[in-house]
Amino acid sequence: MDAPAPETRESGTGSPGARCILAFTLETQEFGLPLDAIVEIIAHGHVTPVPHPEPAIEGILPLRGRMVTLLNLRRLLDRPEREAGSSAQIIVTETSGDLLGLVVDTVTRVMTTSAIPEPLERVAGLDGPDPFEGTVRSGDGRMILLDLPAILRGLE
Amino acid sequence: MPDEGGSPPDRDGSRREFVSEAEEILERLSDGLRELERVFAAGTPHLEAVNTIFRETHSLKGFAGLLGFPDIASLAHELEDLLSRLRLGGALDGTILDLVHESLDALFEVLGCVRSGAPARGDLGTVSDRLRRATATLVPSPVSSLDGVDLPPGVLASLTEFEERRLRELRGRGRRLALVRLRVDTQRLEDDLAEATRRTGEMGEVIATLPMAAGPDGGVALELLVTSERPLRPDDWPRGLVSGIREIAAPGGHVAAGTPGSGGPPVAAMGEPEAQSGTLRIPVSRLDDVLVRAGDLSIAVAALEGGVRAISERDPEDRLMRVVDPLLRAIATRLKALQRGVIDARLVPLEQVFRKVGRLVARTARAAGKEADLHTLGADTEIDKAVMDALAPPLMHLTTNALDHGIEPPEERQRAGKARRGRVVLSACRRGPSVVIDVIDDGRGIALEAVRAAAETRALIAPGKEITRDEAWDLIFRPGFSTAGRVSVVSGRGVGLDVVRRSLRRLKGAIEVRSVEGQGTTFTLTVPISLALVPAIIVRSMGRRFAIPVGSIRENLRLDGSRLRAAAGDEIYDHPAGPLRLLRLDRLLAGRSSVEPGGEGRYALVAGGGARRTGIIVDDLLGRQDVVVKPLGRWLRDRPGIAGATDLGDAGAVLVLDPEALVAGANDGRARS
Repeated sequence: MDAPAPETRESGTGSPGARCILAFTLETQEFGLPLDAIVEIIAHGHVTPVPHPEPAIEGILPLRGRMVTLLNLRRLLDRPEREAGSSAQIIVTETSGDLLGLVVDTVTRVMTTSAIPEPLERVAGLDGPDPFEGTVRSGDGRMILLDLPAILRGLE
Repeated sequence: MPDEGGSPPDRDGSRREFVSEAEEILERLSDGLRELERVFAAGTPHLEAVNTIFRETHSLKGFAGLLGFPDIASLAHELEDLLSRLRLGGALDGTILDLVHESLDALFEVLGCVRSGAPARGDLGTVSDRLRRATATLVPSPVSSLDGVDLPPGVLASLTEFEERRLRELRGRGRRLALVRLRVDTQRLEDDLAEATRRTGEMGEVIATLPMAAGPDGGVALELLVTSERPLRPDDWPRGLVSGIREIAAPGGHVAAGTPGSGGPPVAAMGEPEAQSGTLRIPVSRLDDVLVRAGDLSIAVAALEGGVRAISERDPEDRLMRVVDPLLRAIATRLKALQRGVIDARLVPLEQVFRKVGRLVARTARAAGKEADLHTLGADTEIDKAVMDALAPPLMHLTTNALDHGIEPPEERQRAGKARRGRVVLSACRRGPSVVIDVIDDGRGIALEAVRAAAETRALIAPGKEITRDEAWDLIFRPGFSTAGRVSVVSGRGVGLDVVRRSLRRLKGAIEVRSVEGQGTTFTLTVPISLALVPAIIVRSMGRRFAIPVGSIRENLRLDGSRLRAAAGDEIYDHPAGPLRLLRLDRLLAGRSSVEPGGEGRYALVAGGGARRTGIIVDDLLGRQDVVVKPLGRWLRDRPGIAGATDLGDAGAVLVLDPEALVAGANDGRARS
C-alpha cells in the first residue's frame, strides 16, 4: 500500500536529461512510458475478470507463478473500447513487489529523449491525479508521456 | 453430507476425482500393510507401521465423509478403531492382518463400482461388522507397570496416554528416568526449548515437556521428562539451560518388581541400540523453496497434460500421444507424492501451541480470580508449522476469554452446583484435509439477552429487535461488537472475536460457536493442515472456473429444482436440516464483462454456520485439486470473498474464493465484514 518506489522514474538513466521511453499506441495516438519500471511485454489474452470499483482494472493474468493485475489504459484514459477481436499487448511493470500490466494496443518501439516534456492541458472528465507527464516530440508528431507514479496513486 | 449418500453420486468430475484420490490413499495403505506384514514376520516392533496405516485410514475416513460416501467412511471408521487398539498394544496376529487385507480389498472393489457408476452395497457392511467384532476382542496389552518409579503424581497425571505408554516401554527396557529442569528466557522460549529438546534427544528421549509454575524474575521454568541410558549432567546442555536434574529411576533394576512377564532382559543384553533415525534441523524456507519449485513444475506438467489431451481428442489414434499420455500421468502422480512429502516434512504436532496456551492458563486464571484447569486432547495432531504459529494468537485469545468471561468465580460456581474449579479443554483432531480444534469451557455460557442488549447499544440491530441464538452467535463476531473496551458488558464473550475470526480467515479456516447458558461455550476452529497446497473443489459458475477451499465447505449439495423457492428476494432451498439460503456467485462477483446470467445452478456448496449458513450455487463441480494459492496484487488484495488466485496450468488464472467472507458479506448486507 505504500507509494510506489521512487526509482520508477528518475533512476536507471545515464545522463540527467536522457531517458529511455517505450512507445505504444492507443487508437492512433502515440504514448510513451519510461522504461525503468517495465519488466516485460506480453500478449493480451485469457484474462480472469475480478470485480473492482475502478472499471479500468480488468482482472488478472498469471505470469510465471505470479499474478499480474491488468489496467486497461483505454478505459483509464477515457477512450473508446477496443474493437472485439482486435489484439492487444500488456506492458508489465513492477512496483513495490506487485506486478501491474498496462493493456495497450501495440508496443511500437523504444526511443531515447532528452527533451523536457511540455505540459499538457488537463483533460476534462478524468478523476484523480493527472496521469500525464507532458508531451515530447516524436518523429513529426508529439508523443504523450504517461506518469506511472501518478497513475498508481490514482489507484490506491 | 449429500442426502443421497454414495449411490448415485455427482456424475462426472467430482466422482472421478474422489476415486483417484481414494485409490491413492488405498495404495499407500497397501504399502503400509506390506510393511506391517514384514515387521510382524520379522518379529520387530510394529508400532510405527501401525501408526502409518492408522493415519492413512484416518484421512480416507475424513475424505470419504466429506465428499459424501458414508459406506466407505464407516468402514474406514471401523478399521481405524481396530488400528487404534493395536496402537495401544492390542495383540497383532495373522487373523487381524487378514481382516485388514480384506477391508482393503473391499474398499478397492467398492471404489471400482463408484468409478463405473454401479451401485455397490452388500460387502462393506459385512466387513464392517467383522471389524467391529475383532476390535472388541483386542485388549490393550498390559505393559510393565511404573512401580518403583517415584514420579510425582502431578507429572504422571499430565502425561498423555501415548506418553505414558512410551514411558512404560522404555522403562521396560531398563532406561534411566530423570526430570530435567530448564531455565529458559521468556523472550526466546521457543528457541531455547527447541535447543534443549534437541540436545536431550541426542542423549536419550524426551517423553514429555512439562510446564512449571512461572519462575521468579520473569523466566519460565519447564521440566523435561527424559529417559536415557547414561546418567545426565547439567553441563550436557549449553549456556546454563539446565538448572537441575532429578533422577527418578535408576537403570533397569527394580522395574521388574511385581510385573511378571516383563522381567525383561538385563540392560547389558539390550546391547543393540535402537535404530536411531537421524534428525536434521533445517530452516523452513529451504523446504518452501523446494515446494515452490515442485508447484511450478506441477503447473508445467498440467499444461503439458492439457496439450496432450487436446491432441488426443483431435486424433485418438495418435501413436506418440498414446505413448506419452501414461508417462505423463506417472510423472504427475510422482510429482504429487513429492509435494506431499515436502508438505509432510513441514508438519509438526499441535503440542507446541497447546503448551503455549497451557503456560498462560494458571496466570490468567489467578489474575481473573478464577480457578481452572486446562485439559488437552489430540496434541499429537500434526499441522503445518506456519499454520500452527498463526493459530497461537487466536487460541490464546479464546482461552483468555474463556477464563476471563466464561468461567465463573469459584463461589458462583459452587452456588450453581458446579465444581469449584472450572475446566477449559483444547481438543484437536484431523478431519480430512483440515484440523478441527475445539476450545471448550464449562462456564456460564453466552447470555442471549446480554448479546442482544450490547448489539442494540452499538446499533448493530434495530432497537427492541428480538434475536435468535444463531443471530447472537453471529453478532459476537461482528467488528464493533466489542469495542467498548476492557470492561466486559457481556456476560459471555465478545472481546475482539472479530479479530479472531479475521485471523482464521487468513488461514483459510473458519470459526463457529455453540453455547448453552449456564453450561458453557465451545468454539470450533477449522483450519487446513497446510497452506502451501490448499485442497480445493474446482467449480464452474457463470462460465468461469473458481477454486473453493474444501476446509470452508460444510456440505456439497446436488440441487433438486422442486425444493427451490423464493422468499423476500432470496432463494431458499428446502434442506432436510432446515431451510437453506442460497446465493448466486454472479450477484457477488459479477464483473463488468458480460457473463452468462443464471446458469444451470445444479449444485450448492454450503458454507458458514448458524445464521450465516448459506449455499453458494454453482453450475458444475469439475473436480477436487490441491491448489497453490498466489496472492493478488495490492490493488485487488482486499476484495471481499477472494482469497487469491491459482494457476492450474491451462489458460488463465482461477480465482480462489473465500466462502466464509462471501457468505458474511451477503449476510451483513454490504460487501464489508
